[in-house]
Amino acid sequence: MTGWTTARSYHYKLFARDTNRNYATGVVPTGSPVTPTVTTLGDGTPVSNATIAPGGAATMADAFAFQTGSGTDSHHRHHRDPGVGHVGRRVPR
Amino acid sequence: MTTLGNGTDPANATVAPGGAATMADAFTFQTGSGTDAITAVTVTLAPGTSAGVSLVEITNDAGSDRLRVDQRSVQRHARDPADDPYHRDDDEHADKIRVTPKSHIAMPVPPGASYALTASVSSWTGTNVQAGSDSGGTTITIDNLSPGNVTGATTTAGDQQITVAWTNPADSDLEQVVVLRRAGVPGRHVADRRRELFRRRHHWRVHRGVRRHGAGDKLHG
Repeated sequence: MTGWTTARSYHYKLFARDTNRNYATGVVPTGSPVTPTVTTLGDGTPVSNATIAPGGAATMADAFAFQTGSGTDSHHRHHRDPGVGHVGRRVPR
Repeated sequence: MTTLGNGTDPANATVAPGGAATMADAFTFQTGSGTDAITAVTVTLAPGTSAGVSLVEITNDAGSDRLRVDQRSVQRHARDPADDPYHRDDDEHADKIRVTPKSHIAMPVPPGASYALTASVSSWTGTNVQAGSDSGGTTITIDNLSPGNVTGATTTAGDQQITVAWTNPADSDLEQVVVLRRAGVPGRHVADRRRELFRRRHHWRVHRGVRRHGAGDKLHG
């Protein structure tokens, strides 16, 4: 299921129901409210536009940020597409 | 003399809150000769069971004609004015007691109770000398008893998911477990009564109904 909101907690309560549609008094499960772990990708501080010559110096082309809702998240897959680079890292909250 | 007797009692039955009107007893009146004008009949229910009943009626054997009963008095339901009052003659007349359970919302709140209802005619008002009795041999079970709660319920945060786990109660009539979820508003009251449940339902999201699978059901949000 998608649509979790970063840093939002969710309350749960469970009700058993019988065949005559009688409901139990209900139970709040241990751990509720609970916050799912969501890692959010966002823009970092933009780098300035630049013009470089062939053979020029390595130049910053973008800034981005990862943030977890809680704890840490490990990135295990690295993708390299033309002009885009991701690196594995641990991201603090 | 007018004699009260047992009719052919209807079968035992279990009904749910909000269920249909159900025959709970049969009885007969018969005079030794002539007719008797019966102006009141007292119906007695098993102790404590009236809490689950919204209506008690006396009907003819087929259930197509009826008297209204409020457990204290009987009033002729004026379906046929020419048939008033409640005449009984030397032909044996079979009648029945019919009960209607309360709706869910009118029932006592969870955990509720199961009512083993029996009904019988305990007295009546007529002109003749009285004899006989009605035993009330049918038991109508009005099931307003909640199932037990789930046990061992936990929520665990995962990567873009929440795992909810629990163990089903042992009730043989368990149908499902309803999981309600609401986006967090810390400190808000969590409804724990059925009426609150229904009133607040639009604030909650019914996450999923899960058929009985036994212990350790898991639900991924």
